[in-house]
Amino acid sequence: MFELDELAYRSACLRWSPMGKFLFVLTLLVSSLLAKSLLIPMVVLIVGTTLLGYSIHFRIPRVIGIILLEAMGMIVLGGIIIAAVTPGTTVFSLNLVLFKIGFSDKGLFTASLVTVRALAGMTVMLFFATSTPIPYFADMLLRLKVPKEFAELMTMVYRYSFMLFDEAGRMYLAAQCRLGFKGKINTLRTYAKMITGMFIRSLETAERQNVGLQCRNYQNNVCLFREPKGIGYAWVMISVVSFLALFQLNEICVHVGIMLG
Amino acid sequence: MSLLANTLVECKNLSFEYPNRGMALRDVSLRIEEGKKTAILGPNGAGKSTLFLHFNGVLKPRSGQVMFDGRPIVYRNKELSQLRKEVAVILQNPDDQIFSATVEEDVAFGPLNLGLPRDEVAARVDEALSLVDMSHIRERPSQQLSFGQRKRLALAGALAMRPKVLIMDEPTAGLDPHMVQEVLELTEELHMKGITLVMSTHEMEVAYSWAEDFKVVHQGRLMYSGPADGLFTNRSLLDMLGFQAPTVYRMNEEMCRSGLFDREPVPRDMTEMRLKVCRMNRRSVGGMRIKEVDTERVPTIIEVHGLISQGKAVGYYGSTAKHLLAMTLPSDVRLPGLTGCLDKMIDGREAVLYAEPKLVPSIVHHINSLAQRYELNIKVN
Repeated sequence: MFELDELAYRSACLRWSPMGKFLFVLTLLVSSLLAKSLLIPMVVLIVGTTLLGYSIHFRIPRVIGIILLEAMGMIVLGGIIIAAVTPGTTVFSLNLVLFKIGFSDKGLFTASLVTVRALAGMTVMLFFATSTPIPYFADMLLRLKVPKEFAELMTMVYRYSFMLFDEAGRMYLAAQCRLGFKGKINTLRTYAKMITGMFIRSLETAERQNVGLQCRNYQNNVCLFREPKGIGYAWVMISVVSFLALFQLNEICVHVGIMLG
Repeated sequence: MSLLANTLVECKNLSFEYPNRGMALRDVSLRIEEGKKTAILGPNGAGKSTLFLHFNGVLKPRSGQVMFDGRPIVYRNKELSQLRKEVAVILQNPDDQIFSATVEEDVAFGPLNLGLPRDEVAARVDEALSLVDMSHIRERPSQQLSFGQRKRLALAGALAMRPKVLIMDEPTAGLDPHMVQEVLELTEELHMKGITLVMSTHEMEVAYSWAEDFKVVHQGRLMYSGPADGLFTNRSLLDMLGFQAPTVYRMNEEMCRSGLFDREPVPRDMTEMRLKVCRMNRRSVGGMRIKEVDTERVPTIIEVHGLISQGKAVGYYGSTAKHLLAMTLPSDVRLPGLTGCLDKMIDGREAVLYAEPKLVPSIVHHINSLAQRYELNIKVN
């Protein structure tokens, strides 16, 4: 979470309008989900990957690498299951001694479509996550007329989660120094104490933070000094044009019969 | 009446009790004078932080009264907002105070809460970040800062409110000696700019060299209020508090007892002690030349190195001078501040001090008062 946050502040797309990015990402996601042709999610995957790469300066940090690998593993596994359970004309089969798994043409297509859609969705969402810090996201929600309390709560949770994680880290080290993790039962007991301690300390932290906020004249309103850009016509145009282009491409593919199930 | 006019914050018979924790403050009456540096001393749990939170109206007394600028505090949102603009409190743990995700956002947090126009907020952010020397990391996420940087960020957040009174709860706790020196120099600069300062600390040496007025709180009661000398001569009070008089003070007492020194003037830090020795030995002290710096008069690297090669001690005073010098000098060159220059002058060297024009009269006044106090001839021009 923290690494993702740091990435967002270093992103090449940090200054882009959060609402514009959100609209564009949503357009790509919807286009990909509505498409019947495999070509559309593939186009979205290419666009998403390019944007993600640009956002992270084409250097894949560990956190993104792990997220990508984990998600890809699960998506591919899901795809294999879909391919195996969808009925249709068997294209090929795997003989696993005790049983045989047959893959149908329809199953393979559905699996490919789901896999590419999921990967495309993941890349565009990661692009948004790696280029939009939480306070910017909260600001976007406020502009979208989401209740102020919700955005405020989100900002508070974001800010204080760092402190609680720090606290948990310190408690972990303290427990380690005093042999808190020696033996399985002892480890469980230590974790239980840590959780209890975290709960109590979070209440104390909340009290102290409240004092800190009062000292700084907090008026129940989280304002941003460097306000992110609002959505401009350009973003709306890009999103609308992208949607229409992808929709049209899908129609052509369906009509011509390219990559259809 | 004139005394009242100079009093910014005043507590009258202030008592406070936390639920289930007993009395935190008992019948405390004190005054914080305008333009003075006040140190509030006391052991842990004495009630210093609780007292501070009464100064800006975060806590409401159970009995008694807190007054700001001659008027009792009104505990309504609008009045409290105005009060907290004038009285800024910096908490001991910077994490309790830092709220926003990045450095500049956090400094802007207070001014934005005041509802100031964006341009004004931007100007205050620039000024506060420049004062604490954090302009170069203004976009850094606040959770990536070191403890010392977070302390400075909390200070910048308070300064951006442009308060009349700045209250610092143990501002030097947990900092390395260099950072402590930087914080103290910054507070000196703020003092010269007219801000009333209040600091709580356990570090007697720091308090002694820094403050003009001392208040001692113990078990929620005000035990002493007045100048340092009165506190350190009160042995029974010191013993009760478990405090020791500062090293310089005790050294002066011992030397006086041994017949080496007159007791007066009592030096406040090691530099003053050295000046006293100079007076005793009739040793001359080097002079100081103050050079004004601003954005149009930035010293060049050749100029500074030229002065150093002539054997002169080159230093700076104030955040502006420090910032401008840092722009021209390589990062590994660390110049001394005013105290550092004074030390070099006591060694017999001439010193050149860079400072922004509005600080020059205060520096000249400071040097002249030292010269007068220790009956030395120190040339300043």
